Amino acid sequence: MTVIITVNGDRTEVEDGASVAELLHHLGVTPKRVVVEHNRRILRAEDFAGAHIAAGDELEVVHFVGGG
Amino acid sequence: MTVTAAPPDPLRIGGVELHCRLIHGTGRFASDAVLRDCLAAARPDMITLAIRRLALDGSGRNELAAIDLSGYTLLPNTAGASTADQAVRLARLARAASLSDLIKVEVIGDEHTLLPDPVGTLDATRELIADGFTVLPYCSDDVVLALRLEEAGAAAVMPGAAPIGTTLGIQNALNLTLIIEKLSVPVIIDAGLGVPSDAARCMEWGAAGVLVNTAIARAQDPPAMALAFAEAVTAGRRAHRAGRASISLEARASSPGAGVPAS
Repeated sequence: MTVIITVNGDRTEVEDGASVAELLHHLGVTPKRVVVEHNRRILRAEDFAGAHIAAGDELEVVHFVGGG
Repeated sequence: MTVTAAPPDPLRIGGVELHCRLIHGTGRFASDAVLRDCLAAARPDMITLAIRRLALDGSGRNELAAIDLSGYTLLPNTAGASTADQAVRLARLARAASLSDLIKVEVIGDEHTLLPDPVGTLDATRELIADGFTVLPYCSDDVVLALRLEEAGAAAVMPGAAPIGTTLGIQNALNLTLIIEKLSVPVIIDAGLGVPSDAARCMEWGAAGVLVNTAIARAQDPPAMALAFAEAVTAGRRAHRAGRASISLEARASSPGAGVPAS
């Protein structure tokens, strides 16, 4: 069964109960380069495999960019 | 006295020690290669970064692609925040990404001028210090605000010389010199510097450092300008330590008055 979640503001379909690590793999994201905020809780790379996704979850996948 | 090599004169902020007092921005560069060449020329110890959503469709370029971030002390900013809460959220994400407590607090109060919100800046500074961050707030050139930020526990205070990205140079020399004079924590002049002489002037006054981004990134030859800023910061710092000659309102000949050959 798939559920609808929001990733970086966009509605995304994902397998119910998938881990954040699986979601990132599905999206083609290299986990080492990013920080994930899962329902406002910050996850580091080592937390990705143990964090599971449910319907309505909100995720932010962020990284460093150039800035002043 | 003979001056040989420069004596060690590091800038200490929180637990870090910077030998180069030019803090180098990494935004608005034409390419990651240009940024890489600027960093190679200026050789900064500390660089600033922003935190943003990753483009999940693979679009967008990252100016940091060619940079080995492990070679620098990272100073992430909270750019994009217009409230203290947003700044705190960005700071926590940045801490998870950088694995360091250093944060440049930036809370923009007016989207047209990009001038910082003094109240939001102070609120975010207090909250992040309570959360264990080493906070360097970007602020306006208000002297009393700078004092309040120091009292709140800011590790350094970063007043702007002019609105972000304008390269207008120093707009309020009196306030910047008063802030440098009155604060005990390092004062780093941030935002709006245009040319290396602006940076040198700040350093001559006793600024602990300067942060330069647009003036380098948008120069005709960015790596050459990066080096020019680094040299100006070094010269200005050295001049500050040397101590300027006192000003005389009376002209004084530099050459001896006596012994001029008679015609």
